[in-house]
Amino acid sequence: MKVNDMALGAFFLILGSWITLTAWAFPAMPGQAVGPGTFPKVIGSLIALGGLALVFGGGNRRAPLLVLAEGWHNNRNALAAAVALVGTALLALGFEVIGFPLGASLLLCALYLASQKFSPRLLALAVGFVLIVHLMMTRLLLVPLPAGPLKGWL
Amino acid sequence: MLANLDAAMTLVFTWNMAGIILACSVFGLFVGSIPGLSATMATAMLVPLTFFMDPVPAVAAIVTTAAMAIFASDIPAALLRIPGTAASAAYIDDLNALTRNNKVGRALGISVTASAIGGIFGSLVLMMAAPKLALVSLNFTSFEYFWLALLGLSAAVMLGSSSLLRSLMALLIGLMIAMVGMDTTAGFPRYTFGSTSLLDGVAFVPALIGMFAIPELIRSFIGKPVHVPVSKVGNPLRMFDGLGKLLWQSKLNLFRGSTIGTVIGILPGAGSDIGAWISYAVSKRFSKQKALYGKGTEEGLVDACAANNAALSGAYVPAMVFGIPGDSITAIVIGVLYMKGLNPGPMVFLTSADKISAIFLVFLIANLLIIPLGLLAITMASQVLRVPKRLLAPLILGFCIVGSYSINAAASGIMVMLVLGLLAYMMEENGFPVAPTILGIVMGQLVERNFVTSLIKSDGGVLPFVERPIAAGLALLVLLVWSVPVLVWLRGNSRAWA
Repeated sequence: MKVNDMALGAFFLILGSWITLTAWAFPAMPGQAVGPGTFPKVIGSLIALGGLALVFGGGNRRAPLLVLAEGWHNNRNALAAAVALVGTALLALGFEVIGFPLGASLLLCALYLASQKFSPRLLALAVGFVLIVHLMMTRLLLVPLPAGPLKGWL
Repeated sequence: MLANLDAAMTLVFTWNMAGIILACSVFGLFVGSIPGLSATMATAMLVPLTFFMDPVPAVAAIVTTAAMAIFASDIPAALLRIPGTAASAAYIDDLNALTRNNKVGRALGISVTASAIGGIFGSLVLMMAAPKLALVSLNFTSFEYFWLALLGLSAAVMLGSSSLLRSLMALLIGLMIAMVGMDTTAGFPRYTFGSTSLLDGVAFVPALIGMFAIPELIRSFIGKPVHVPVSKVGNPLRMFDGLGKLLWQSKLNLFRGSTIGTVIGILPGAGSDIGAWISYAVSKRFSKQKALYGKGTEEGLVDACAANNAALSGAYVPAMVFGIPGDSITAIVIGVLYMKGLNPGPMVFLTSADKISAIFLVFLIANLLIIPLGLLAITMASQVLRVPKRLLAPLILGFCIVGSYSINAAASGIMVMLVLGLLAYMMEENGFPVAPTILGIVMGQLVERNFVTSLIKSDGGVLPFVERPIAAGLALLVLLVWSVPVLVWLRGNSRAWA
C-alpha cells in the first residue's frame, strides 16, 4: 500500500505540528523552564520538519496518491488479510468476555476458511492448537489467559 | 577470585546444581523460543521456586535461564521474523534473510556460537575485573547517558538500508510512541486520549511482536501461496560446517562485539539492547561489505550476537558491586540476593567470596551449555520451516495474541500489537525501516529522562553537556556518526537523502 510522498509528508507535517502545539499546553515543572512538554516539542518539530522535507524532496511525488500491492486485488487474499486484522481487533475488544479458547478458535477457523480450501482437518488443527496453547500457558507458565464461557471446563 | 576457585567448585560441581542448571536451561530455551515470552518473564517466573533453594543454586537458576532464553529468542527471530528481545531486533533482518536463503542452520549456528563466546568473554571480565569496572561506570551521569543513548539512536538511523530521511522519520515515530503515557519527570499524562491502559506507556513486548510479525502475516495472506523448498537442518553438527573458518576470520568482530557488549552491559540501565545495536552499527561502519547489512550479513551477526550475551554478563557488574540493576533481569537477581542474605556491595566479595565466585563460575557453565543445548533447540524448532507459510500464519497469529496479552495480562496489549503492526506494514510498504522505530520505543524514555534531567542540572545551558571528559568523548562520537552523511550530502550526493 504505497502512498505518494507529498501526501505522506503532509501527514507528518500535520502530525508533528499537532504534537508540538499540544505540548505547549502541558504544565511546566515548578521553578523550571523544562517539563513534560519539552521533549514532545523537540520531537514534534523534527517530525514536522521531516514532513516538509518529504513534501519538497520526496522520491515519488508524481506517483498516484495510493497504490495497493498486487495481492490486495485478489478477493480471497484480501478477505483473509481482512479477517486476520478485523478478527484480531474484535477479539481484543471482547477478550475478557469471550476468552482465549473460544475467541482464538473462532478466529483461527475463520482464517483457515478464508485462506484455504475447506478442510475439517484444518479446523481441528485450529481448535487443537488453541486448546494446547491455552493449557500450556495457564497450567505450565501460569499466564492468566481468560477462559470466557469455558471457565470451569478447562 | 582465583583464590576462591576451589571452594567455588565444590559449591558448583554437585548433582543438585547439575540438575538445576540442566532444568533451567531447558526451561529458558523453551520460554525464549516462544514468540512474545521474554527472558525477563522466564526469570520472574522462577523467583517463587528460588525461595526453596540455597543462595548459589537460586542465582544459578536465574543466570542459566536468562542466558538460554536470550539466545533462544533468536530462534523465532530467524524462523518467523518475530524477535524475542529488542537486542535481537537489531539483526533480525539478517537472521531472517539467511533463513530465506536456505541457510537457517548457518544463521543460528553463528548466533549460538557467537552468543556463547560473547557470554564467556563477559563472564571472564566479570570474574576478573568486576569491582574496578564498576567504579568507571559510576562516573556516568545523566549527561553521559544522554549522549550514549543518542549514539545508540544515531547508530540505528545510520545502519538502515533505506534513505537517511526515511530512517530518521522512522526513529522519530518510535520516539513519538515512547512519549505516550505519564512522563518520567513530572508524571503528567501525555497523548493517552483518556485511556488508563496507556498511562504506563505503550507496552514494549506487544509493540515488538506487532511491528515484526503482523507485516509478515499480512504479506503471507496477500502474497502468492508459494512453497519455498527448505533444507533440513538435519545433523546439528553440520551447522558448524565452515563456521570455524568464519569465526576465525571474524575474530576481530567477535572481540569487538564482546567488548562493546560487556562495556555497555556494565552501564546501569543500558543493557544488552543498546549493546547489540551499537555493536551492529560499529560492525557495519567498519565492514567492507556494507551492502550486505540487513540482507543476510554473517559478519554483522557475529558482532551483534556476541555483544548481546556479553552485555548480559556485564550487567551483573554494577548489580554485584553496588546493587544497581543493569537491566530488568539483574533487578530480579538483586532481589534474590537480598532474600538469600548475599547483600550486593563491595563487602560481599570479602564476606561471601566463595559464593560469589561460584555464581561467576555458573556464568561460564551456562554460556558453554548454550552450544549443545542451543543446537538441540534449533534442530527441534527448525521443523517449523517445513510447514507452508500460509498454513502456519494463523497459528503464528495465535501465538502473537497470547504473547501480547501475557506480558501485562491485559487485552490492550493485543490492540497495541495490531495497531503498531499495521503501522509497521505501512512503513515497510513505503520504504521506512522498522528497526529504528523499535529502538526509538525502547530508548525513548531513557533519552527523554536524561535529556530533561541534564537540562535541569545545567539550568538550560548547553555547555555542561560537553564539559565532562566522557560526555565530551561520546558527544564527539555522535558528531562523527552524523558528519558522514552530512559530508556526503554536501558533496552533492543529495540523492542519498531522499
